[in-house]
Amino acid sequence: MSEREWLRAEAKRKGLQLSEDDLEFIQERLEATRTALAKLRPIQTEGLEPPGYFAPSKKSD
Amino acid sequence: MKPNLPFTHITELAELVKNKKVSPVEIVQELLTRIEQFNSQLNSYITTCADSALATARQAEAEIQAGHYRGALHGIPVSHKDLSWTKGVRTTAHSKTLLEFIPETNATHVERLEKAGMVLLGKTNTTEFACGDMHLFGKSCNPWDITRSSGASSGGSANAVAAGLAVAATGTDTGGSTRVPASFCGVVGVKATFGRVSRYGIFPLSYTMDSVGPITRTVADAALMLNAMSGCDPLDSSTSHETVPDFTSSLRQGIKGLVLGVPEHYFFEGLEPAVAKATEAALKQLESLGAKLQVVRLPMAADLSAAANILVMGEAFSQHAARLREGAQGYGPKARRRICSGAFFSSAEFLQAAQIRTLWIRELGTVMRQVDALITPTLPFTAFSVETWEDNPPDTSWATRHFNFSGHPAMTVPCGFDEQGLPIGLQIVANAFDEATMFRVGHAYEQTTKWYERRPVLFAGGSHV
Repeated sequence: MSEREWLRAEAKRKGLQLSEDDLEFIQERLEATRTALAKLRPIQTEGLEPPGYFAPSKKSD
Repeated sequence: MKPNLPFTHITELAELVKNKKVSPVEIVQELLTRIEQFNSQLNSYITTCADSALATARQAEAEIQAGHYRGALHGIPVSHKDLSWTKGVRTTAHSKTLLEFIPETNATHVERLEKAGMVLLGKTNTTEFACGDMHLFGKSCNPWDITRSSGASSGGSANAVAAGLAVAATGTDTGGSTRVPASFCGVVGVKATFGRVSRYGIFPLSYTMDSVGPITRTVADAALMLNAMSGCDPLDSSTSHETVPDFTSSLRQGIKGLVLGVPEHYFFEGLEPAVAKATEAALKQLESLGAKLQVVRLPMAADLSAAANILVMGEAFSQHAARLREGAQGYGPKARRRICSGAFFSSAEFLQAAQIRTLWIRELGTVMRQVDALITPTLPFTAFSVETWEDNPPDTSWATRHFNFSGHPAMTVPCGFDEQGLPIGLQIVANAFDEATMFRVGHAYEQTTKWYERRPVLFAGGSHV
């Protein structure tokens, strides 16, 4: 299945009515973002401090 | 001589109103006259609340005459970005899907400013849902050159304050959307610490990066507004219980001995010559005021764009999914495509972006512990043409998204003009919940350079020479 076919099927599955122009824009954006992201894959993720916004607040907060 | 009220900043207006030398009604009337005269050129406003603004101003006048003065914001007009709910006043988010939407309640920051006595003047132009186009109500343009963009997404708020169609406004900022238009238009724009100001009642884009803040002519005005807007809100669980100080109390302390971090790379690379010259001069000015400049390293600063794309649009899609399923074609193409792109990244990609964010937070946190504030240009360029904004704009979140990622407070102040007379902005970033230092640095710089006294010739008969 090509990337475009996958996008089309996924859009349908998600209930999104997207035109071919919409899918073309999205495909280009995904590809550019993934290319940039691939250069930044962290070498080490073990021990990475989790982001604080998941921490629960105290009763007194 | 009577001051030019639409161009008078809040602290000065407050004295005039308090001492009954100027009526709130007068201020509103002069602003409404200017809106009628210039809004079709600038597209600052989507909705103007002329009748209710005058009624509220009369009420404020009566209260003040009777001795019930609420404080410096009493009777001062304010304009809110049309993403913020305003009770009884349509709130469109510049979207065809919301043209008839009239909120039954105020957004929290709207409510708080109203309780402080501010008078709602109107709803300012925004890009659709803060990420699309301005295709329904015209494009907000730059009052220093109307062929140029005002910047976005809070373009209407910024150009209104700059052109004297508002004395104060609010904007929202997810990657720079208050700071960028404020920089382009030569005014002050503030993104407070994440959690400082409630986001209840604002159409969301990213629930971990959205913020709302003031856009004003001076730093002191912004501090006054943030005083009223800030504080924990049971309607927004992301708001902090941190004490809200009086942000104006330390404004005049000066900056002698403060340590200001200047990033070694990225933020000062690839600048237009005028921006490089202006920010260099600003750094010298800060040093001459007694601050100590310290070179700092932020190697990850160049690496956040892809992660921002995934996180912001992923979160935006989760907010819009239901409405998009009802009718994606009701959105403008740019908003629809950008938001829907967030639906197609994998969870692994989303988590990788979150890991990048965590690494950045850690890197920036290490640097910020060594300094009182960080100084960068707000943008590497001045305002580009309206056509460029539509076709293929450069990355305007270039220096601003970093602090939405981390949650630090950041403010832009004007620091000069380029050869075409277009404003240049200086960004001041402080430690979390230390907006007081951010304002202190901005005020010290502003009061010794007075860039805020310049007005766009086209709309003020003033001069930027």
